Amino acid sequence: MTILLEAKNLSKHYSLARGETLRAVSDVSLAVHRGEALALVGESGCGKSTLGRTLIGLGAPSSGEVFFDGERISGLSDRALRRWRPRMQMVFQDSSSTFNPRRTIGDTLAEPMRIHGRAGIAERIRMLLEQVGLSSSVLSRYPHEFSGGQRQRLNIARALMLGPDLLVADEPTSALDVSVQAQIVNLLRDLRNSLGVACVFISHDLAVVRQMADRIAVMYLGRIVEEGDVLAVLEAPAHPYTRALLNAVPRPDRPLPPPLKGDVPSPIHPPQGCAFHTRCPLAQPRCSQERPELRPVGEGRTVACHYPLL
Amino acid sequence: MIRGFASRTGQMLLVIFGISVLVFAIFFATPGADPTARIAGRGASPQVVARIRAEYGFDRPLPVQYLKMMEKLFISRDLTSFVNHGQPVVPEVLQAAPVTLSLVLWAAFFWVSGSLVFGIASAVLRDSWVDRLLMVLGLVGLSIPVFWLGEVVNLVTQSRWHDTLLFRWVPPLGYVPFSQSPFGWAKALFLPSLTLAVAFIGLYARVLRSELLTAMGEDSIRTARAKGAGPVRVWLWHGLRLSWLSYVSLFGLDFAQLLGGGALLTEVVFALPGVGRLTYQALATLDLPLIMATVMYAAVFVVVANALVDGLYALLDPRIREGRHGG
Amino acid sequence: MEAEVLLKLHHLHLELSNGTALLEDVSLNVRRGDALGVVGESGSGKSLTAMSVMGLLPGLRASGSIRFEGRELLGLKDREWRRLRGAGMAMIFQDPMTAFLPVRSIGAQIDEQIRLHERVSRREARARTVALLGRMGVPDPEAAAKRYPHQLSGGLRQRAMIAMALSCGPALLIADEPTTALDVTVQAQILTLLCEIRDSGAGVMLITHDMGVVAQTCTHVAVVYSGLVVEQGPVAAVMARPLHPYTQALLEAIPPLDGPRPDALPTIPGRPSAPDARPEGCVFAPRCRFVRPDCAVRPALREVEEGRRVACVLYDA
Repeated sequence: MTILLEAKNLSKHYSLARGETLRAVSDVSLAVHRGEALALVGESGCGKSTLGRTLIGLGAPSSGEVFFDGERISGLSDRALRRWRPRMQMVFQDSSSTFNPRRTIGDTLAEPMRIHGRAGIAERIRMLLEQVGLSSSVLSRYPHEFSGGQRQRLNIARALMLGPDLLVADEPTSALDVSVQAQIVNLLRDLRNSLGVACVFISHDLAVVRQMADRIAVMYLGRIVEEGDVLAVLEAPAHPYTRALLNAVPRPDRPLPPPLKGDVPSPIHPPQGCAFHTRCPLAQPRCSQERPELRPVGEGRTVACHYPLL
Repeated sequence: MIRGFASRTGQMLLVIFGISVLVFAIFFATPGADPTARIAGRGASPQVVARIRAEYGFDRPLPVQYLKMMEKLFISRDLTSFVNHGQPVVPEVLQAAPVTLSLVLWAAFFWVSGSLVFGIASAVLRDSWVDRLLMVLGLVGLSIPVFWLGEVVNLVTQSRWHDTLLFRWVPPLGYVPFSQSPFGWAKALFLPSLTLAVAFIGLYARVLRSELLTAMGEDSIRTARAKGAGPVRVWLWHGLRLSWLSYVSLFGLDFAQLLGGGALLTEVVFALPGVGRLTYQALATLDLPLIMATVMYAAVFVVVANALVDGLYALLDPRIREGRHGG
Repeated sequence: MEAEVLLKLHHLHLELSNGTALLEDVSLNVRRGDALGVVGESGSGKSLTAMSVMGLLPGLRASGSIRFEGRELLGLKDREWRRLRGAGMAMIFQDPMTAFLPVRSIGAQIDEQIRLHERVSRREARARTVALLGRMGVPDPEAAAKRYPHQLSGGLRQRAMIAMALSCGPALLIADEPTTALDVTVQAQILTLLCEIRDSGAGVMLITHDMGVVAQTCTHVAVVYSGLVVEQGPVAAVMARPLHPYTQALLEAIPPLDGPRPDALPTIPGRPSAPDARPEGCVFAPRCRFVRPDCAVRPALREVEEGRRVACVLYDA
């Protein structure tokens, strides 16, 4: 498999009033292979959405580089990026706000192809609608006439219009009910298999991620703390945070384990040393002084912890 | 806190400076027009024109002219009106200011209390006939030209029915200073300020009603109900707290522009010697120094009022105090 | 063993003024020391059920019966409702950011609730507020009481919300999606807190869409679909062996966190019918895989086993 998207030491910082800096993403390196699905997982404020957007050039990184298909796309101007846009598309959580309420579905779906001057629009729309499980009769209707699940299907169809190589989906199912969520999860899985499109899923839901992704990257306060094959990581987490996340998912089949204490610290003033040491049940004195680097544990897995569970 | 205040003051000064430059440029630096002739007024003698030219430095570069003008306005305050036979302009404005202030204060009192009552009443009774009636009345109030209303009020209270029991108390047109007779002051201003307030009551009641209704849909209002709070408490204590902001900002701007001469028509109709009427006279006689002075005076008021509104905002909403907005 | 029934909804029916029924038939019980999870998808009427218990649905016509501590609530005067709200029963909401008034401190808002129901001085109320915040696990409660909602983290805000709800010692706590807006690790903290409240003897009614949340915090569960309770029973039994096809489908649709990864998740075809277009018969029939001719008559919620009730023809004797 060849690498499609690669990020090297990517950081994204925001300057706030009073000279403070919000470190949304710090020193992240990752790679997405062709046709592969990588999940970015973490709690709110961990930087997963910012990372997802920075990866596809929505907002320039503060430092570091992004390569797409071997070429550097970070630092390019918006104009220069336009050439790359058709190859990377984004699906957002709130499907109701991505559609212009006053335009028909057909209009919105055709727009990306019109902008990029592609031919055969009607044919392509029909094909994609079939793929996402909707009939062509939706074309003359307006966004408000659809349920959340249908709108998310349309949203996915819109993202696929230009035949991208990479799809970044930010919480694509979290606004949906369980039964609808299952439909969308299945749909995304099918599309990935049939189209071979690589995906970056941004999600807080480990169960959904396990179902959709090949690999998982767990983020905490702007850094990746663990990465590896999704089944292996969720089977036996190496980082205490990954384990805590997994334990905190309410499941029908077992009682509630004792929760992590405290809140996620502010990304404006991240703790010294390992960012997780303030909440970690296994923290040692060393954890508050020295930040652990990502290092390999087992095949294709890395973890940033002085005392990994593996 | 102190830093914020200092930077705010700096901003204000900058804005006032900008306005003064602009006003100066419009009146004195417009190409092809001789400012000397304009200051001197129509039909001034050549001696006067020559004196003005020397006094204002119109034979020197523009920045010097600007500085001279500002010096005359703010420091030596001896800017004089030549149309009006050498009357100093600044004291004239300062004399008119209390009249306008009194008028606007009274009007503000009427329009705030009136719009509170009407706005809350129509929000609480939304979609009932009371609501519809109040909103139509508000629209009528909003659309009546203030000078016409003022003339009608004068016609009714000063001549037509002046001798009836209802209007016998109405004093003749004009102003009575507070220091002379507080009661006379109030009597003289009652009808003018009410007239001025009518349009604002209509506007503010509508704004308050819509803000209040939006606020009542908020989650926190549901919480207040779930706590067991009664309707009066929910509407007045929780609802109003949420809907104050746009009301206050609107108020600050209107209050300032009225103080700055926006009550011109009311002052003219009721013969109140305020800043508005002064502006009116200056315009009628093309008295340039006087116009300059009143415009600057108005600018200062608007800028100061803006700053006060911002301060009030911060008092009302802790999120703004910290420079954050919303969630 | 049979604890006292705290809240009893009996054939609760709720409709708009134009006659559209939002809740068709909701019957459920909450006993002291019980936590009842009311589960359903959006539009099922689970939140409406909670709001009607609190009497917070002006403009909707309710019929049937809501009995709280033996007293009929439907038809109560507004003044009497108010005395109950916040004192006898209290409610917490999904998003504690918007549920608090943004322009007043947390403490002032909790004080207000105490003083609405009890004649205590400001100082006493504040002392109680601080004690409550401390008990809810808010660090430095005295300082926290002086802060505004936006200055606290999501988890602390929800703790403050719970503190406010508990401030007058209610017998029933209604929680409407209390953890949906929170991160999982914080959600776990709040759920633990709810379990403690339940164990202290209050009745809890937890409205949620998450079967996992119900499983871990509740003793009983009522599954709501399209304005009706379709299944009810003890949590362990329902999770282990769901009876109603909808409950089964709902549980199957959750992606597994261990074991083999299925190629496709079981889904429920179609979507719930709108309130004004509900089928005459079983409301779930159009989406049900076991549908058969007698589903055309709406099945009643009947007890089929000890403590378990279900509305489905599959279990007709």
